[in-house]
Amino acid sequence: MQIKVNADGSKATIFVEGKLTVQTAPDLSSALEGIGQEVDDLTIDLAEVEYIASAGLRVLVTADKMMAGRGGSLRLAGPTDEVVDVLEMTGLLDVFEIVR
Amino acid sequence: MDQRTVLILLQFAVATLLPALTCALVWHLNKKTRLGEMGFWPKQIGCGILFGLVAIFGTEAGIVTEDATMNVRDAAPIVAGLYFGGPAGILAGLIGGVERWFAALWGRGMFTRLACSVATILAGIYAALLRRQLFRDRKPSWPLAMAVGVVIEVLHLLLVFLTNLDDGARAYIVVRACTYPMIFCNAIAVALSGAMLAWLGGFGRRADREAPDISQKVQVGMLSTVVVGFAMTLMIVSVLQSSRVESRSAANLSLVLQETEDDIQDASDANLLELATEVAQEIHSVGEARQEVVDELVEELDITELHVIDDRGVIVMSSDDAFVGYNMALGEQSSAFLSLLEPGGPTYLVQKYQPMALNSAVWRKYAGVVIDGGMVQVGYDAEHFVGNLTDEVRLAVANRHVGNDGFLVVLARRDLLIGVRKGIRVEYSDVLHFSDATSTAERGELFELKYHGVDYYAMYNTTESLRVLALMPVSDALMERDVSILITSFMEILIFAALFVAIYVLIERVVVRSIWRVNGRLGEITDGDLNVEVDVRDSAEFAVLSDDINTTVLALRNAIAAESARIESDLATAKAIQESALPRTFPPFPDIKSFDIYASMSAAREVGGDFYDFFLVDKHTVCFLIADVSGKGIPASLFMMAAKSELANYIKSGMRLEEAVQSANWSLCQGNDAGMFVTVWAGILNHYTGELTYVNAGHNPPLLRHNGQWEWLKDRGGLFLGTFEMARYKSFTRTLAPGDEILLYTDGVNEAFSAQDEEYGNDRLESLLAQHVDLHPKLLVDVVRADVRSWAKGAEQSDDITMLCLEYGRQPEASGTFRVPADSSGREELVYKLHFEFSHLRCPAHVQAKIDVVTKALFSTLCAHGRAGASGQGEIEFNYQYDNEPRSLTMCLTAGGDAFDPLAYEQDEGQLDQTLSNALAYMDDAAYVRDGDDNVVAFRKLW
Repeated sequence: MQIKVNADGSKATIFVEGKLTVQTAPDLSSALEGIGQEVDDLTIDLAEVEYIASAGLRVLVTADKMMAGRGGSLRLAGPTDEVVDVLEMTGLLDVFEIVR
Repeated sequence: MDQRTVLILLQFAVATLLPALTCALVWHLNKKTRLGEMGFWPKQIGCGILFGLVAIFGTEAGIVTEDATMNVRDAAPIVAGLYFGGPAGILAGLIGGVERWFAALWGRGMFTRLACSVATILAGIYAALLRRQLFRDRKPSWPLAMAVGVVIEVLHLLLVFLTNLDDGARAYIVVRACTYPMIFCNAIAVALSGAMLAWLGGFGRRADREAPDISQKVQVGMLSTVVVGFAMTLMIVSVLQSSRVESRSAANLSLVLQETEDDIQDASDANLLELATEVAQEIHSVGEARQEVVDELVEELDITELHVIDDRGVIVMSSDDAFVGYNMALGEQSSAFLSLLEPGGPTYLVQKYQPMALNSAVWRKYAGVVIDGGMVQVGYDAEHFVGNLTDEVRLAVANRHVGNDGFLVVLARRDLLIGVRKGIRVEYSDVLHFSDATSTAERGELFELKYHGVDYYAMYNTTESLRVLALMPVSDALMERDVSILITSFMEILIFAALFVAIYVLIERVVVRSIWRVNGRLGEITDGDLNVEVDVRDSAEFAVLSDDINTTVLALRNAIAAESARIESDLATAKAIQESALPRTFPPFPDIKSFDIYASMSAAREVGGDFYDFFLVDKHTVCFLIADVSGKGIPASLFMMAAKSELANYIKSGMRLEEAVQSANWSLCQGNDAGMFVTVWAGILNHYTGELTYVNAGHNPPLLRHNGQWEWLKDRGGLFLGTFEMARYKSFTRTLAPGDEILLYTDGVNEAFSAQDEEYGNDRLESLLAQHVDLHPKLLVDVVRADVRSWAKGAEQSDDITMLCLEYGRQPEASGTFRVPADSSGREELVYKLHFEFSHLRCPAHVQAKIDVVTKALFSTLCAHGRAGASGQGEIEFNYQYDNEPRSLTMCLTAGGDAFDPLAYEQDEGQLDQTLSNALAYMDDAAYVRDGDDNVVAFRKLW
């Protein structure tokens, strides 16, 4: 899995590519911890994510809570059908703001 | 600067820049055009020819001086060899060298032809060797390349000396003219090429290498050391040589003076002896000597004194009366002549020009010859013999050189020059100048003298009243020094260069290679292979280092092994605790025959977060659930234990399922700082009515087999637990028919990956189940797990594989025993109990009917014989065993009595009831055994 972070002031985008498994989820976690306190408009780009495991969902939920905690917002951008299926199954589809 | 100078400088500048420009061209052709795709040899040959042409340009653009060409030729093969490969360098050197040989034919200098050709060829070879041995095919930095250029040029100039040993002075002049421009231009040309290639090669490369490697450091360090060392030795040599210039010149001059003096002395001695001998012939005996003859001879021979001395050493007759009666023994000078009077002594003696014994203010030269009864002595003063000697002196100095351009001057008086080297123009004023110089300087000491604007080292001496002055131009003396410094410094550069290479190669061999070997092994260790051993034993230090590293790694390995053993055992305990928390007894509710349930979890290597649970909520409701905690390891397993107990507690409390899940969610959200969550599918089944209520909190949809068709239960009841405190849940209800089967699973099933990284997937699960529409729970779970395992074969199991399966209307595998009286009432009781027990088994009615028939018939037969037997007891025992795989009932009737096989009865009596016979035929198996005093009949029915 590969992760790229683009931060610009209060806006930041995290690009994720590959599989978000229990092994790779910690990388996304540390990427999240790495973004600055000033960021309150976070987008996680999931267009290149072919698989997401529960550990990955947990990181997304953590990100959502983190943003909510500082009055910001989290968007999931371009999730693939596979990811949407998982989000739907877990009921998270209604929780996250999804940008197709 | 005149036009010619500008033109020369321009030529040199172009020749110096050309190698660097050619480098840029080659780099461009190699990187940016299709020529870069050529093989190694075509590239080398192309490069060699190109740089050979550059070398030729260097020759032809050179400046011809002193029959030699000052040029920038050697730079091209050096650059080719150092930067583009050995063969290219050697080829360029050959082209440049051979062309230089023939270039002598059209006036590029014959004198240095051999040296120049050889040096250029050597330049290519030397650069090629350095590239291979010293720089290991890496591009050297420009200072090193520059040093290589200097060394080659020095070798070149030294070759000029060596090939012209017979004309060292001329070689010196050529070298002196060429040294600075050629070394400078060639070295700069090479350095510029190196810098150009480094620049083209990219700016970024330096940044990613934070520290230079040892070999680079050594190269730079040694280069500085060598340069400093060279400068110091050069300075010392210069000082030493300079201090010796004067003493050497003095020695030279005094040697020349000595030789000249000897010549003059010899001539003077011979002259006076001839006079004395002539006198002795005239006055052949002391006794016969007469005053008139003496006076006559003095007059005739133009001598100053003439004495006749008797055999006692007393002057008996003299040209000067004052001397008569003088005893020769009285003066040191005169007593020397007494040796002639001794018998057997010498017959003549010539003395040097010196102060006379009688009056030391007067200088004379004496000669004595033995005659009868004594001797005659002739005295001569300067004025007399100068006249006689002039020719000899003139001859002695006319052809004598001092050094290359020095000469001798012989002065008789202040204003009288009697000898000088041929070709030296001496004015009257010069004569006075020389005279004055000699009168102020010490005799035999070196002093400086200017003559016609040229500085000379000079020294004089006086002999036979003549002043002999030797002069040598200072530049002659300095040239000797300079040649010696030049050759010394050239040799030093070559020796230092050789030392540089030798030390570098030594360090590379002894240290750097070993370090790299150690490093390589350390790299493997760092990558996680702790079984690697470092074994570099080239030197004691590296052997110790290797041993130390091995010891450290071993200690590390042991520590890690101990630690991981501890962690392993902790994890194993955790896993055991976690697994023991799951219900594992099947059937869990042996008294309940209306459903069968089976569940299993095969944990991945680590403790995971999957769990399942089932328990009775009340008499007719059973709760069953499956859950998956996000993540793995100890945190997940701790959260799993919490989730399991929260869910069980709330559901058991009797609240509605959705409320129970909601409450459990709220509880799990409290203090869940780690952000764990759990997906749950929970169902409550009323096993009397078949009504199933379920909530899906973010879990995978289960599969339900209804009327032999598998379908997904996709209703979603809400979000997973543990994250959203205020989440609401919704339950769904559905009524199960007997034979309906529901399979719960976690994502370890549908998301198992094959070795080819393919997901197992829902479709595969669905089609697998479609092939198995009649498997009881345990078998279904086993079949699915086996299929998932074979799918994921070769890949590490990454997730727990957890499943729970419930089949409604199927009795769990069960057995029972009852005893009934061996009479007709017992028979009715048995049939009643049988019906009651089997009602849960979904035993088809026609099967039940046949079982009834067989049981009743066998019962009756056994009763009849039992009673007839001696040991007939009043009871018959009935055992049954219900197996799910294959689905079958095995029944067994045991009765006391005489040995009697009801199954063989037919053959013996031909009376077996036709109904029994038909029913038995319908059974799959039947057998009789005599067990002690009992008759045991067993039969089995599969369906």
